Amino acid sequence: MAVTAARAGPGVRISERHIKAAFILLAAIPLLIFVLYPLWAILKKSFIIDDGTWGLGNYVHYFTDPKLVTTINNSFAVSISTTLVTIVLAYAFAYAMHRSAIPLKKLWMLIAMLPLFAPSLVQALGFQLMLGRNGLVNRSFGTEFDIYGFWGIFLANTLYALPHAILMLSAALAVADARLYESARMLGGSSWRIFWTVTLPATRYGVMSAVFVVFTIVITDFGNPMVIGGDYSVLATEIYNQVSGQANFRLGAVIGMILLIPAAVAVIVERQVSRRQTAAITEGSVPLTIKPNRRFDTAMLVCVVLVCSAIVLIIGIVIFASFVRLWPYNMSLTFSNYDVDVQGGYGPLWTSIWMSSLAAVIGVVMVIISAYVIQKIANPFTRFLYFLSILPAAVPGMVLGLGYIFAFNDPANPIYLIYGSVLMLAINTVYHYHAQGFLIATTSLKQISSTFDEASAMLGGSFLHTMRKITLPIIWPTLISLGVFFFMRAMVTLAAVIFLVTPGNNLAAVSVLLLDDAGETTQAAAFSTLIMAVVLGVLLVFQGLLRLFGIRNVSLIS
Amino acid sequence: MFLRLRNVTKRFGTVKAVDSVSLDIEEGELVCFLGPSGCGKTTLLRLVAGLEEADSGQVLLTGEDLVRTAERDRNFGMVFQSYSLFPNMSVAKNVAYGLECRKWKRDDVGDRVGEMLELVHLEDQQAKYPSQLSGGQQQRVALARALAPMPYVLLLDEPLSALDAKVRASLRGEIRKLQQRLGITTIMVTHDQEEALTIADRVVVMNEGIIEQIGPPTEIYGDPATAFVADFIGTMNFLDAQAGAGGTVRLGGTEIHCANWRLQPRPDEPVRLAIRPEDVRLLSGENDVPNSVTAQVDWIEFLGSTYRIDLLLGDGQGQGKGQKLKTELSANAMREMNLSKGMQLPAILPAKLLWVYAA
Repeated sequence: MAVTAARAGPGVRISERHIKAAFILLAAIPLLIFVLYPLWAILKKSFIIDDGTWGLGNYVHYFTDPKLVTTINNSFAVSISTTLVTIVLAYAFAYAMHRSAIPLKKLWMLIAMLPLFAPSLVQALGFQLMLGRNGLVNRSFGTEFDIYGFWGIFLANTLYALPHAILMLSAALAVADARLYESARMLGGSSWRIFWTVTLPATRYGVMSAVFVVFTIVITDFGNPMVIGGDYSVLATEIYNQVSGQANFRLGAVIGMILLIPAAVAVIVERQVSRRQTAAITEGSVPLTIKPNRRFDTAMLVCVVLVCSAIVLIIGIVIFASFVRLWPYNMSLTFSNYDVDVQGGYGPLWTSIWMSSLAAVIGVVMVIISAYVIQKIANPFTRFLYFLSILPAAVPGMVLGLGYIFAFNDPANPIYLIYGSVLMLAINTVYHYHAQGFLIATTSLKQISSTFDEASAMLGGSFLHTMRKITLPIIWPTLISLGVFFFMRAMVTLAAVIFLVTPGNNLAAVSVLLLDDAGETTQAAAFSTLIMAVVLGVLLVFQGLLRLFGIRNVSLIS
Repeated sequence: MFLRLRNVTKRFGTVKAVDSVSLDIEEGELVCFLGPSGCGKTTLLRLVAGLEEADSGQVLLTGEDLVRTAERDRNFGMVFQSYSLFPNMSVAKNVAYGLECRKWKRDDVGDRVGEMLELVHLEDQQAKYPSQLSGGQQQRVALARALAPMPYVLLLDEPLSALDAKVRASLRGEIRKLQQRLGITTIMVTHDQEEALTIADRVVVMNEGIIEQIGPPTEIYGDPATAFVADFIGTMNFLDAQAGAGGTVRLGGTEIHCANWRLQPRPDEPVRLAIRPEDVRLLSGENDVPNSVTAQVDWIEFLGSTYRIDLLLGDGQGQGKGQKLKTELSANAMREMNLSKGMQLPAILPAKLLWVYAA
């Protein structure tokens, strides 16, 4: 047998190594430039004092000003109370979805997801229209509720964080081993006792994960406190006030660093917790069947309907207001709010759609490369790459956005060429949400058995050939869902991009904020409605496409 | 020698998964790597495949070292335990994959795919996708896919263990026939001794990263080189004894002649005496038979065509140590002897069928 002639020499192997090295660099360099470098820039800025030297002066300034220190207390007070209430509501909701026999579960779930399709400030806008000074309630009943401040942020953020918590707790409650419940009942446990001794312990990691995720969402949120926070200043809005209001960049950097700490701690703890949530279900598990129980189901239905009504009411009132001529003085209906005449008209919406499409494409490519490299190439450097890939989860949008100013608003930096462009906004959004996208991609790649790669290699397929012919064709529905994920986030994001928009490149979510700030509440409502319509429309089109190809197990809501 | 392993070593952390293994495989031979899980057999196969890199040692194909040759350039075919067919490709596309990687002409690919599918009797399934096939069919496609590019060596990593018993037996025969027809050098990894003994030209028994014995199936079963092999293959009785004089051991108070020594013991050194249950001969009502020990029936179990009889050595008065001896008796013999629990009788341990291992 002519063995030698057919076999390729060592040269082939080296070029394969070059390709892998190129992929590692392709994943690593953008992460270094667009995540690590801006963080370094903001850290550095926070330690540079007036005379240009290094020092703790900015921090001393912050911690000696009682007004500024209050923002820490405010942030924690509102975030902790929002988190607790959100988790309890979300647990009840998810419990009703998975452990009760209530009707119309799909409808309730869809309603509960609605806040995901809108910028965070839409909740605040809704509460403002409902309970604000000129709100429906105060106007109708002559009452004088003051929603601005702690309670406004608390209510708006509870609705905003609810879908995230429901998704996570649903995942925890969806699986259960019927055998455990049967033995608990055989031992004479009451329903209440079984809940405390079986259900809750089985979902404890899910609950803990949800607690930390919700806490991070709430403490880093900018839109809601900006609209409805009033004088109740929190860290996220204080960064904006210092930077945009008083041009005090260094103090902004300090507050950013302070906000980074609780967010980072929460993310680290959450990663640790979620790693433990494995093997709750063993091979012999028997899925739980739900038996109707009139009293319990009624109670659950009441609970679900209450939550859904609140969401429908708050989002509904925004949509309603978008058709009102002059809230609250002239409540006659009109389309005139959709003739947006200030703040660049429809420009920001088109910019947003264009930017979001760009972010979807860049985001899919970048997270797939990162996830692929980390999954498929064993290399000491890939551990660091993993850390870089999930680092953005711990970075509040305000911090990342401010970091971009410090890092790239400098003609000496080559990235300055795209500074202020739509591309810059898209890249910023991609790296703001990189961790979530990366984890979706990783989960999807992990589900593909590694023997496919080995089988391909044994048959003579190269790294690139395997990726092109096997891996990507298998995970294409995930690519679609990743694209939709980045598009949705880019349409509704506010925190990071607020520092990077320019008058020529304004975004829809920022427009809502500016319109509301300018007192154009109804036009802000119209713009919000348009954003929601675009997001929902894209979601429906792609869900339909997936259905058309017979893909049912990929969720576009994540 | 066609395929030669020389002092191949692979560590995972501090564990030596494969410890300085050397092995020669002839062209056209089917060799089974057999051993308990964690013995290193799969790692050794993956080292041959190039899916793992050896820490030291050589893998030589017709005298040429493969260390610098990547798995994709070795031209070895491999079938995996889990059905590793690409789910996004039809059966025909799967089989064609290796040929396309080798840039075969389109017409040649078509011909070869047809030929291969015919070989595994799946020519009518070529448009189907893997998920539409049964487990056995999927493994046959995997076999066709591995063989299509005319590999130098075929590697089978527990190819049958995910299948149910009936399919396993028939596919086992099919693999063997195919292998002999094509005359392809094949290595198969298995933890199932029946599979290894029925299919292989030679069996390599592995334990804790080293080779315990290499030999044809009859030799592995009939002349186990080590106590591990004796214990792992089939059923074996082990009895504690002391070395005596002139090729004997002392079992309890009795002198027993043994023909097969796996050590040269000092006098009185403790040793282990091994004999298979079917080799123990039972005689009722006779005493003073050479090479026999007195035993008491402890347990009788009916197994259909045979009985399993457990004996306790010694006559119950201090002779021997009450060691357990498993034996087998045909249903016919059982009827004649009419054994019952508690009965005492001599058990003959034929010298030729006794092995002595270190204690």
